[in-house]
Amino acid sequence: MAFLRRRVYQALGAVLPNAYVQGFLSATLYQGPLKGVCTPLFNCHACPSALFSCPIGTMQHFAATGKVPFYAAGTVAVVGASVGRMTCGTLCPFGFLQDILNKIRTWKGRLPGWASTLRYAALAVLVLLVPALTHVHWFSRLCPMGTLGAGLPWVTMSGSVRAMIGSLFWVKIGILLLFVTSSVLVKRPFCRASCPLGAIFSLFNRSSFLQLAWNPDTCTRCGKCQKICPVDIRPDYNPVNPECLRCWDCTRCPSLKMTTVLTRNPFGLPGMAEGRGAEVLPGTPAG
Amino acid sequence: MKFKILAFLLTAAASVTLLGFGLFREEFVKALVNGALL
Repeated sequence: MAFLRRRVYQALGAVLPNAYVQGFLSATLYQGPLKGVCTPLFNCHACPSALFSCPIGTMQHFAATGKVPFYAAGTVAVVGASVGRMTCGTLCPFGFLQDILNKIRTWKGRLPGWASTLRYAALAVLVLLVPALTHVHWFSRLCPMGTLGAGLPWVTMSGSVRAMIGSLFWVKIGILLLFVTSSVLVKRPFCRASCPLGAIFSLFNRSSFLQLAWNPDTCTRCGKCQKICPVDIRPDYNPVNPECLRCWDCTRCPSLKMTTVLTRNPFGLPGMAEGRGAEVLPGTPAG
Repeated sequence: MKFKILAFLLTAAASVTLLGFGLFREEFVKALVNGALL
């Protein structure tokens, strides 16, 4: 039931920020006041139906103009401090697409552990450093969500945009196809290896208000939580893992539970004064 | 437990300060202009 509820939230996360349907009908961008609001989602603001701004696109714009993006970074930080990476797991449209594609029955592989460091590199290099040095929005130029949400619709709708197609467009299509096909084979490859927004949110998992609690007294280490996890981690090994999307799918197991940083005894165990939300067993591998 | 609460409070305070400073500088106008242009 919780799993189905997450699918509903993900569908809403894909539809509501893209509710300006008129943009597709009139081939125009929404230019109203809502565009000044950064959504805590990976949703391209150049999509004809986008109502809000992409925080990564905004940060990159500030970097390219030699300014510090306090507002965009602050928006992401406030959401991260509240719910950690939860918007990645429950609302992100590109994450939703990857989840759906991974349902296709075929051979499944696993992403190597080092791949998760690449998203921090994407944030530092493509979003901040290179735009600051070159004054060009390099992450947006290569972003697969931008290709899907803005590049393809604009090329389809507008002859003048179609006339501007160059080699970069085909590079963008190649990157989109790479992530679409790899999503069928591994769980959420873009979120784990390339998403700069996920890189920022993952820094907050340890200190966010919402937390994942694990009960070592009832956990049998059966590993079912890893099988249903959309990013292939073991929440019982490390409930504050930066990879955790806070989708709460694993809370179907009674040994895992959504809690808050203020809850001292999330499982209501008698005689337990301290909550065990962030407990990590010694010697167990991370995620 | 106390450390976790302290970590959350510090993170929340820093985040709100960052956002507040950005709002004070009216950076949302630049976000609007950047997001509204193709």
